Amino acid sequence: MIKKNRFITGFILFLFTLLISQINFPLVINSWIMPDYFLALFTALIATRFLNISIFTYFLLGLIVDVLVGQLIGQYGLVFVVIYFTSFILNKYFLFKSPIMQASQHIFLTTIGLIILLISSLSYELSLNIDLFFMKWVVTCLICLLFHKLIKHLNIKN
Amino acid sequence: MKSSKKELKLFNNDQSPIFGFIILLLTSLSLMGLDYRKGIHQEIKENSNHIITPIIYVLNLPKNISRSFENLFKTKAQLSKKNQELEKKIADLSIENQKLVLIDQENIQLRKSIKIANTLGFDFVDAEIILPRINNGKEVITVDKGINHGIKIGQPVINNIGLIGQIIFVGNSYSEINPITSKKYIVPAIFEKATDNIIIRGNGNKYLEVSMFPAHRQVKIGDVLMTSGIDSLYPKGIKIGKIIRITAKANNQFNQLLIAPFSGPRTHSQVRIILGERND
Repeated sequence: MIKKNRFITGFILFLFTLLISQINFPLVINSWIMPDYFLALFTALIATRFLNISIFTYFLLGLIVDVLVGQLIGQYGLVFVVIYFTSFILNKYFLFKSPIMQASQHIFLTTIGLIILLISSLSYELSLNIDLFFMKWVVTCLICLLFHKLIKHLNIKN
Repeated sequence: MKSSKKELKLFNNDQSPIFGFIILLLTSLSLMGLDYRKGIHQEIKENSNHIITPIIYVLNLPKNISRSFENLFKTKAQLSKKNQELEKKIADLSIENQKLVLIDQENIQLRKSIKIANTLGFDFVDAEIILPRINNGKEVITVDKGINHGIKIGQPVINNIGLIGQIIFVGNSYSEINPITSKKYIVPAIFEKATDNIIIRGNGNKYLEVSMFPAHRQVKIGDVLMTSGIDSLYPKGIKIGKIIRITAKANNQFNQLLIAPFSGPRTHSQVRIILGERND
């Protein structure tokens, strides 16, 4: 029953993310500083082990995200697989107990995801604006931490 | 005791996903390579556009509702004021048109005398820019016309200010436009004074650029660039932008021109999509 509830919650979170990923916030002028909502959501889901699904399922979910908002088929699939594996390795050797440690884990995983997306991006360019990319990283990490808080809250409810 | 052991992630005894990781890593890399070469993403996206269509509908719902209410409660006084404004505009345009008729006739005569074939007209569809303007952190321009209205990938998009971009994705009732400032955008151009055919490309930021313009050719800041029409895709003479910076290259053989487009994604709400040459 708990597992079913979690899947429903996960699906609602996915739809919610799909909706907000299409909304342009008035104060944000440059698209470079818009957060990557799907990366933030899935980093939080993987790191908190909310859904407790296998690496193959995350890969399939990545392909769905690719079709909906991606540029290349397999791009988000690759990102989620790498985040899953990194998270597994981190949890193998470290214990993330305190909120600060958990936040650090999320930030580390988000950073890896953003770097892979940047490298594999079709619009990858050497004349990259580092300041704007830094802003995107900051905003994506913040969104990821918000998702983490939300998931933890839902976890307690479930 | 059992549950606390389950929560403890340190040295977890889950089965290592290394095998799955390697397989999926290779699969995703192969898929990306395949997609880059064959463009399967575009096909899949076109076939699944009905998933995104409801989201676009929901995003535009508040705007549509407010517009419906606005239309419903528009007073007669407001309408007559609007009518007066439009009549004045028509009068201004008619005066302007009279001059253009004369210029057009002169143009036809000149073309005849120097034996240049007349350019054909273009069929077009008017569309409105709708939400979303952003897609997971990437800027997009979405319009409310799609396959059902005869839109195809590659068709140019303009408005009364100038060139806007090109159609890159078509759904049943919506399309996406690649703006001229995008890195993936290239357009053949000519200066307003009809000299120097050049190729302009977007720089991925807010501007366009010509990276290698011969230094011996005369050019100055403020020069206007238009479509040259040599690609038979864009009609000739559509304004693109004006030069705002000229930078000398290290070897002094070439200059780099930075061009500010006249029309940006946020400076318009109505656009015109050119369907192709008119067959009459």
